[in-house]
Amino acid sequence: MPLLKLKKLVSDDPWVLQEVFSGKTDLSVVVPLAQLLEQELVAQPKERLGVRLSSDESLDDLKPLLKQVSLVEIYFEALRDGRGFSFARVLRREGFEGEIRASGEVSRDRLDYLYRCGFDSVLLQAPINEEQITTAYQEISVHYQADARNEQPIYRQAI
Amino acid sequence: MYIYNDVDQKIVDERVEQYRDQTKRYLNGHLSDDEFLALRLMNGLYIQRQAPMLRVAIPYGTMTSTQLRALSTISRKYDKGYGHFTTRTNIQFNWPKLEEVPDILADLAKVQLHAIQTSGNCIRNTTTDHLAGVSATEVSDPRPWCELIRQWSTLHPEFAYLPRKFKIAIASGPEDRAATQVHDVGLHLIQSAEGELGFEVLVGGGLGRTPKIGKVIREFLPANEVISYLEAILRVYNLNGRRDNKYKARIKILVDALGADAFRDLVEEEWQHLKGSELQITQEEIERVSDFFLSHDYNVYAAADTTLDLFLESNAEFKHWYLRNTHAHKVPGYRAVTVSLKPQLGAPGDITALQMDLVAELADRFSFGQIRSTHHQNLLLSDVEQSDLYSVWLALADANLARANIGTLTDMIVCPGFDFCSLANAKTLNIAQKINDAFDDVDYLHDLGDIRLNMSGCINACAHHHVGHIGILGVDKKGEDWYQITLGGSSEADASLGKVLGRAVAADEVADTLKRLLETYVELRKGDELFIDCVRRLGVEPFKERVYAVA
Ligand code: HEM
Ligand code: SF4
Repeated sequence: MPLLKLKKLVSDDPWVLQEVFSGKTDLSVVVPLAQLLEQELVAQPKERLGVRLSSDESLDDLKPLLKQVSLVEIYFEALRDGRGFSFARVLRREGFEGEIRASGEVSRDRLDYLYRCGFDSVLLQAPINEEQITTAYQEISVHYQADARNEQPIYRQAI
Repeated sequence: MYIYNDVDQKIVDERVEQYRDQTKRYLNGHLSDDEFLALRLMNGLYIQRQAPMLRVAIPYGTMTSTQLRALSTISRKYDKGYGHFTTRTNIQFNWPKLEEVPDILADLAKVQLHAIQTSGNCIRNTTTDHLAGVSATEVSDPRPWCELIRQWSTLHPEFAYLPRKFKIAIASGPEDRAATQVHDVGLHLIQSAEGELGFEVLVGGGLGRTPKIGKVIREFLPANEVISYLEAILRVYNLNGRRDNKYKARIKILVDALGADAFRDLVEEEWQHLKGSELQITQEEIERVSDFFLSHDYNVYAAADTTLDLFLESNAEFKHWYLRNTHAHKVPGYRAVTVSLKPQLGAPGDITALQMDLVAELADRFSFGQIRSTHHQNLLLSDVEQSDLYSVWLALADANLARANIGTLTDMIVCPGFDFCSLANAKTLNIAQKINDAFDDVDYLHDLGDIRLNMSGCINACAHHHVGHIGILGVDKKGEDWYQITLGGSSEADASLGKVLGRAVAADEVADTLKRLLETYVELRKGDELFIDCVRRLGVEPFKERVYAVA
């Protein structure tokens, strides 16, 4: 699965998904939210702990744990399920400064929206080449709305 | 009329190329059916019974003559020489080819038109009062606010994959001509006691399977916070709306499930983060956009004309038309003229390329080059001098656009039904024709007065049948078309949902049933009591008794 980070293909990603959290490890692990909620005391250092939130789950459940993780992976359950876009915006507003990653039903035609909502990285299901990446991020070059990358809506942008 | 600046133009131009690329990838197999479906819907392209259907946005129902001519050209070049105006003031083409849609969009972009977000689960075209700017009772012109909302909602990165479609309508004052109470969000322009301009905000209206009247969640929202407040509403909806069942996914279901108060609390809580932020619209921007909608250069001597009275006295047909199809204007000596797209023969809302050209020409000659589409599926020339009315009437009559039926029974709102729509349960256009045949006596129609008839071919309620004074809903009974009739609905300031009259009737009984229904009204009305008032006073029962007694 290709991984895009800040609009670039990367191959040296440290994060591994651990469906069942097996306690402190030297790996950088991403753990499902439900697993993390079960742990009384998370011994894993923040730099190496990520959490995976499915678009079906509640963002409110995650909020108290935000200080303990440095990556939030938002898993899009379905192509038409757009909750993840709002999750990312709320996370940024809550002051979360770690990495926000999109996975699941995400693809090339939503890359720019993901970026604008505050996602740093995207785990794609289909291959993608450099040219396609450039187009995906540049095909619409001006934006009316304020977003997670630019607080200024069109009427406050200096153009 | 808003004119695009470089940014506006760039966005639609780039959108065309983006869509061209998406279509190309789909056609050469690089984009799955499912993925392309979501993308093409966000560009107004449905695949229907006959062919694809392309819905083009007419933002808040305003067009220039140049734009209308372009629509006419498109209908000739890519379609069968006609188009269909919808209840949300957009125009649909029923026969475009999938491969040609990018070219159509490119032609549209040249005249500052697009099909962005005319379908799909995103924020749709914002609609408003068709008498905006010319009504004497409006609090303020709603069009600048519609344009600001258009820009904010266009390609919004967060709200492109909502649980379901999202429709916003703005009323300009106490009279609601935009059916705002049956929209996901209804905004009513009001003035506070201190004279500040703002909106009363309603949410959760909508029709379809579960018809609901919207509920007020904020009595006064300062106008410059409308974007921040909408952003809060949409975020709450995007996060909490149901996604497990598409029939329960509209915001009205969420508002109902939580209760309006709890819903309001969520919105207000979210809004605390947004109000007073960068989202607040700058005074400069409000002025920039408002300047596009300043009053026209009206002729100050317009009311001095004496010819209108002469024509009214000497020509009864013209007088009928004048009384039904023209409307009061804030400037003395001017009228707003409805171009009736409800002819004796033909589908309600349909318009041919030739007719589009003619209306464009009339707009140039007599109405500052502008045309509006109304949510009743007609067109409007909003600023015609009274001395020109006779010429306008002659030209419209010649093109079969002057049927004097606006606001009467035959000014029906009708969806395309089974002939064009793959979701339909029943045909609608044939029934509309039968009604037209049964009620072709002008004097009788005028005597019946204001009656709103709305007919949908299935429960999706594209023609808003629940809020018709008379609503007709096509249902499928063992493979046959039947029609359920409701009475007493309204989409105006006194919005209400119609009540079922009784058992459904067969296709060939609809017109006769309406006849008996209206005979009953004529018998029971007090003086010049309107149909809707009579139904409200008496309830459905007396109508039910008479209508079914004979059958
Ligand atoms: C022929 C193709 C069409 C299709 C497939 C279609 C499909 C639908 C569907 C599925 C809904 C229900 C959505 C929901 O409630 O969640 C709907 C609603 C609606 N449609 Fe259409 N439609 C079509 C044509 C039209 C036309 C021609 C008009 C205008 C005359 C129209 C106006 C509307 C309106 C106003 C609603 C909202 C009703 C409400 O308030 O719930 N549609 N449409
Ligand atoms: S009401 Fe039903 S039949 Fe009519 S256009 Fe809408 S979906 Fe089609």
